[in-house]
Amino acid sequence: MNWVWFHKFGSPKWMYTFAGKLQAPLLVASILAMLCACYWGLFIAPPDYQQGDSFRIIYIHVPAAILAQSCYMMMAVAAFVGLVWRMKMSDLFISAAAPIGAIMTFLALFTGAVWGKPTWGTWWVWDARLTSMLLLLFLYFGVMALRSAIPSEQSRARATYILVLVGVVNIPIIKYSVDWWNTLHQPATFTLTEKPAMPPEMWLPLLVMVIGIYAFFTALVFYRLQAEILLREYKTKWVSKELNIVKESADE
Amino acid sequence: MSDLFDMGTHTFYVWLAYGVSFASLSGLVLFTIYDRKQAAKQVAAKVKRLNIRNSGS
Repeated sequence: MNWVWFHKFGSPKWMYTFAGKLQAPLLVASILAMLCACYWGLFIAPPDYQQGDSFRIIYIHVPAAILAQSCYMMMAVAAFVGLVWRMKMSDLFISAAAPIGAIMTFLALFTGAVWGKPTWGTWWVWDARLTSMLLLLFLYFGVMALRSAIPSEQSRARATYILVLVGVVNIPIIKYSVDWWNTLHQPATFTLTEKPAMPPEMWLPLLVMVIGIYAFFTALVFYRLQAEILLREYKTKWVSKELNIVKESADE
Repeated sequence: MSDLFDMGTHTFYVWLAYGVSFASLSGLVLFTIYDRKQAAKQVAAKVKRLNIRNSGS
């Protein structure tokens, strides 16, 4: 198998250029997709026969929750790669992704609470799904706090990898919490193996929103990753060139 | 027009969820841009220091 593509991701200069090329089109596409999905979900999709209009919160709640978890899984894969193969890009990726994951987790929790009030009659219950999701939010905060507390680059990267990998145990708990324990939270509306329990005019905007939010996440990660790369590679010539920093007194 | 935004008893909840989401994502974008600008400044300062050190030796 040819592993050249994998090594490219480890090259800061290549990654910087790659991220730079993709971020603007991704951002534009994501904003268009998300606006489309919002309009579609809010005004065109029919109200739910049980929950009425409050079900429209699904178009934010579910995509945010999906991304909150898959962002953490991506960070865990990066942490594993960083720990085993000492790939520096892993640390940069985790640093770029963690705040976005935290916002997505917050949104999933907040929109969930706002949806819960008219549906369950309460903003919050301490059941397994909600509590494990809150734990995910604290894991994101933990990763960010840990990173800002360790000045040494190498030990910071190692500590980050280990924390991220320990926290990954929470992900299957979130996923299966609705099956393992009694809860107010409804089970997953969508699975990969079964036909959706919703008509297309309800799930199509959701699909568009999920695609849009993934593109949004990728665009932001690329943008943040570029800054991380510049900070880490400031000693190289290509960074000076990239930033148009002219050597003032040197060379003479 | 206001008919379009009216969702009966759920109006408040739906618009609260969408409003806060919009605000958070916009905030995230603004924070990211600010962060990037700070990083660029930091890099410029670091490179400058590096050049001074190199030319001094």
